[in-house]
Amino acid sequence: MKTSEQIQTVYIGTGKVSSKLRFTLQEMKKNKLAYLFIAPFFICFFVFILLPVLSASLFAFTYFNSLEMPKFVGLHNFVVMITQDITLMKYVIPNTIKFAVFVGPVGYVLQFLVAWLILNIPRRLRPLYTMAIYTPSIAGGIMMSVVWVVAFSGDKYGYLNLLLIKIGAITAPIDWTQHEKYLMALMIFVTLWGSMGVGFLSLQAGMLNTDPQLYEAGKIDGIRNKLQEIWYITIPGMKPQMLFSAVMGIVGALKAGAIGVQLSRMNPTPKYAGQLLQNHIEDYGFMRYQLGYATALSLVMLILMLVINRVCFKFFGTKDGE
Amino acid sequence: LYFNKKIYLIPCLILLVNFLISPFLVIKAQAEIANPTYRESISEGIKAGISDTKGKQLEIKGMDYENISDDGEISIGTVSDKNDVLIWDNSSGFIEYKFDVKEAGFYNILFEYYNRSDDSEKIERGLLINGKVPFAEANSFFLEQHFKFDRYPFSKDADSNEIRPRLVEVKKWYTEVIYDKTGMTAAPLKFYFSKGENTIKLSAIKGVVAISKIILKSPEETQTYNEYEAGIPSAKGPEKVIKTVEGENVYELSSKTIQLNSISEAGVSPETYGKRLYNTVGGEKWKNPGDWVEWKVEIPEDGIYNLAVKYQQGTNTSLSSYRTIEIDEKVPFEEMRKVSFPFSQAWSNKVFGDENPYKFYFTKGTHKIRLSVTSEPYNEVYQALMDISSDILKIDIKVKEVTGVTTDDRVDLYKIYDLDTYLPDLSKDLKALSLRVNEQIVELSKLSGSSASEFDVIKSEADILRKYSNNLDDLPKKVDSLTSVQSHLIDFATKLAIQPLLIDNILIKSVDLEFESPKAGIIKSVAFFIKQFITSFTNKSDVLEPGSNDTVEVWVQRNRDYVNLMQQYADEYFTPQSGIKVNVNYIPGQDILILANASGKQPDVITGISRDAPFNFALRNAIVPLSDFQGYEKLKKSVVPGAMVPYHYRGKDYGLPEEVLFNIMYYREDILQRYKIKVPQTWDEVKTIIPTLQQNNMNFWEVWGDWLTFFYQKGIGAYTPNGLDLAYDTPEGFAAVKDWSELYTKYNFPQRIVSFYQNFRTGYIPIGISAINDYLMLKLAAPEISNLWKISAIPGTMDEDGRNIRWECGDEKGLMMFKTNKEREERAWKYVQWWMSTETQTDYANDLENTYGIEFRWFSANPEVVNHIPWSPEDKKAILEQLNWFKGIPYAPGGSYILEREMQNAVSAIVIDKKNYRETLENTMDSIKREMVRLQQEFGLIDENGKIKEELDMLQVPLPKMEGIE
Repeated sequence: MKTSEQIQTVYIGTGKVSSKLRFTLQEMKKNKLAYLFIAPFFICFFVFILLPVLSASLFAFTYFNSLEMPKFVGLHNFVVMITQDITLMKYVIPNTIKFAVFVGPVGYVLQFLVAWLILNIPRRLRPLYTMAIYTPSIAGGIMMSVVWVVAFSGDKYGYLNLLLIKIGAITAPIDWTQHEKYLMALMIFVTLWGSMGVGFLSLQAGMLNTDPQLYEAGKIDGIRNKLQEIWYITIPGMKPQMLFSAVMGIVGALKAGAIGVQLSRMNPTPKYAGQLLQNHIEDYGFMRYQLGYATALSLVMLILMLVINRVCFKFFGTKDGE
Repeated sequence: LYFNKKIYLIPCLILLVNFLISPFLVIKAQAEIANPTYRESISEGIKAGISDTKGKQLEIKGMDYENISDDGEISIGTVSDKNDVLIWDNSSGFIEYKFDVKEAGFYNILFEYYNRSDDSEKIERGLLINGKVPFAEANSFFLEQHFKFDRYPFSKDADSNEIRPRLVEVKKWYTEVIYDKTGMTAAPLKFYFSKGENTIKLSAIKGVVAISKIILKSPEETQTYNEYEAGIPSAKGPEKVIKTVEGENVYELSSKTIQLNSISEAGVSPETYGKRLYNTVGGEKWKNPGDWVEWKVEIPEDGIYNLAVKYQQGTNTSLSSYRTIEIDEKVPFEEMRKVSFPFSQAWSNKVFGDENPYKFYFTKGTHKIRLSVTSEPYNEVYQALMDISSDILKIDIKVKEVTGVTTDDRVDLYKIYDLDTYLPDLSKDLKALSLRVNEQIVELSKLSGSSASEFDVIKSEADILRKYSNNLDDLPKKVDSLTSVQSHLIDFATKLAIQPLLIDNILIKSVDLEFESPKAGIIKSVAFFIKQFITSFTNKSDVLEPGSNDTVEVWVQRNRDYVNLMQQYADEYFTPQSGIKVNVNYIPGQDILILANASGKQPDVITGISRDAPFNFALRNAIVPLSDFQGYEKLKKSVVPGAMVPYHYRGKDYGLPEEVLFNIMYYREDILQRYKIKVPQTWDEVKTIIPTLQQNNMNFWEVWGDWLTFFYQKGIGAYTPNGLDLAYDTPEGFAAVKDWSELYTKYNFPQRIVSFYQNFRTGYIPIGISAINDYLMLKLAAPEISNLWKISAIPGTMDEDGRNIRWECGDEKGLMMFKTNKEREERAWKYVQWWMSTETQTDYANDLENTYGIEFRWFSANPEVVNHIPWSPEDKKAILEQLNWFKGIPYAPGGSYILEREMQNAVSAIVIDKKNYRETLENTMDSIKREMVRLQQEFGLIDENGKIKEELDMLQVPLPKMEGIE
């Protein structure tokens, strides 16, 4: 008796699923042209992004030393992360938060400010300024070795040392990039300098998009100063661009990691002073050969990003009726 | 009054004494007697009325010596059909000849000799005439060998790339005249012999040789072109003849460093579109004075011809390279002694005689044309720049005696030293030096024909000198204010002596034709580009394809030149004897290994990898223990035991060391002698010389963060013998760290210098420990101190039994074998056995250096191989001693990455941040141990409660045999 019941439920279950599936397929057939259009992107997204991310997350639950077959260990990696990884708790998380707060929100405000300032200069000069501000973000890698490494070089020929010695602020050269006191500040500075990228451009585009008639109407309706103009007209009008810029900024800030190693030319950075989450992942993945744990860390990072992105959507997402 | 007057008296007295003594110190420092240069000695001779002898020849038989030393293996016997010749079968000892000269005057010296060794090492002998070095350039000379490519046209491999032909020595009796080995004189050297009894004393430096005759011959006079032209037979010249000799079709050449090149460029003959096809000869490696290349040319009929060379010289910006041209081993006329090949990045034709081509008379038949490197035209400029730089150094010493600013931390920007009062001539001297530099720039632009602005490199140094002369107070604001000028001038002067030249063709034509333009036209260039683009799709040589059936795949993490020679070696020696094909490939970094392993495309053997790789891969079961194979013991015994330390894990050895890069002590003999400092043998002795050094504004350099060396010397290891704990968590360990850190905190060792090499050159760090690579740097790029420095094993620590323990922990590079299948592993092992054998390593090391130059010296881990590498005997002794005292860093699970990292942080905390050493070390050891425990659990060495399940066996290295002590 029991068995027949079971069979029945299963049958009903599959029936439900299959009817739903049938409906979906029918709908797809109806809109096949639309599906055909998104197919190239979807296939690429699935094969090159979704699938690797999903399969990689599986490694987070294994012990995998990158050479032998992975072994399933359940939540062990996460337990280790919370209970045993002192470097993570002592250096990496504080560093990452410090870095992300400065480069994320502060950088974001800065981008907005610069974009707005450029908006207020004569039209003919605008592209020039935009170009000047945008260039560092493209030339980042080269500038790193040409400008910054020389500028912060530890001998007395480094630009910063030379300048400070000349004006008499210091007498002996300081090894900026090797000193844990300065490294983080330098990392933040250099990253901010190069952060006026796509996010900045999109903010500027958003501002330019605002209908000038709205400003006129605003004036008639009683807007008294520029600040009110930004708050009541510009910002509501450019929410999509602000969202895009925010998402790009956060992903960028969390993903950053190479900067500390590039500046100090040491991996790991001296006394972990510039160790960010990304560095920590690379340390475990490629220097300690503990890919399982490294993947667990990346999974945490991915979740962190998703959560922050949700928050951004809450702030800047366009709601119905807007 | 309140003060006792005696208190004043003591410092006053000390000051007075110091004041009185210091001038003598300076004078002593400068009193170094140098031999006169060749130029000086000849011009002095001419002034004294000495002239060339004419038509004289005096032969001295090699066997008729007067005197020999006991340590030379010298005998008389038969060598290659010549009887009763002198055989000198080692490179030590001396031999002396006595003979009568009938007419006083200048002679050339020729030797008739035969190279007794099979390796291509240059034969070098020291020379004393009547007990004295005649002039600086002749303190030693080379007896050259000739080399030949074993085939032309060259053979091709399966992908129709050409295989580099082998250079073989031409074994024969040579009769060669002594040239200046520095290349500063293009003509053979002239030596003065007085009338009556004279002696020549030869001392061994390098190589083994048989000598049948020494010939003193009157210098031959070379005619000028006008005389030559007048002497040409008036036969009517040939018509419509044009001949091209391919540069790569070399007849003979003088050195293995001169290379064939495959250049993929439009217009080079023959053209290649991406395949390896040797089509040019020379280049950056054909630069050393005396190096020559000779071609054979077939002349169809008697008559007058013009000569040209299609060349490229793009290395020495705005400077010419010079060559001496010899036709049939004779310089035809004086103008051919120094032919300039101006700077040209594109291919161009150098027509001898330029606009009015010289007429060369050739008879019908085969003739030889030889181009040899000479730097004589730069002689005067070179000498002047060297003099200027040594004068600058003298001034620098004076300045530093006044200011005492010798290290960065003593710079005080706001202190005025009033140099003008102490050194009244300083400003004038600096101005004069600046003018002298400018004079040399004028000379150079005259020589090369380029404008003076092309020599901005040294122009700016002249400007700096002038600036300082107007502003003496700026001098002490930088430690290297003058020494940087000095070293830049020397670097520039050294560059002058280097004469690179790349040759595509030798061109010969009859007078009625024109030489073809060396430049490829636009149409030709475009066609070339398209063809090259198409071939790039079919080129297989860049693809890594491991795992084929009968081939051993070897990956090498080294420069491509090393890889090419390894492939050539395998093809020539290993494959024929074993029937196993070998494919050697270059990899840029180690990360690729993990990916290759994951995708199942791992190579069989990987060489040139960092010392930690075998441990990391062994820990994770990806490589095979070499100690499981047959014949392993023999290979293991051939290398120094200390170098095996990083490769040992769980009772097995997973790698073998190819090279060890240890640190060694360098010292400036001249400076140490000046201050009567003995070379320290122990750290305690180092501490006693520190006051003398620092009083004289000098210091000792020790590689920063080399704590493990100190541990080793005090008998402390990194890990306990079972590999599960740190070994220095003991009172002795703490004491060792304290001792080490005191070198910096108490004895004021420098923590950071811009470069040891620079400071050693200028003499501010006259003694110090640095990596063995610096040896080559100093040999190659610091000619001004070439005979003034030596090396020795690093200072040690005395143990209780009175033995001087000199362990040193340096870096190493080695090989390992991937896990594949039984059959492949066996095949790979055969390769490893062959590759690591003493014979292969010796040949490879020597060929590497012969082919690419001394900068490719192989720092073998095998003492037997080191013995056969052309180190000078004295240096070899030091190097072998240090090699025997080499002990690598051990690896244990967890510690492998965390130990060095954490200890590096600890030492900088103790020394730089002045933290308490005990507290810092305790914290550091805590975090190292935590990581070790975690990894030990991971690999099942201990259980969850910390109970030991399995113990490791860290490799224990016995003390090397020491002289005098059993």
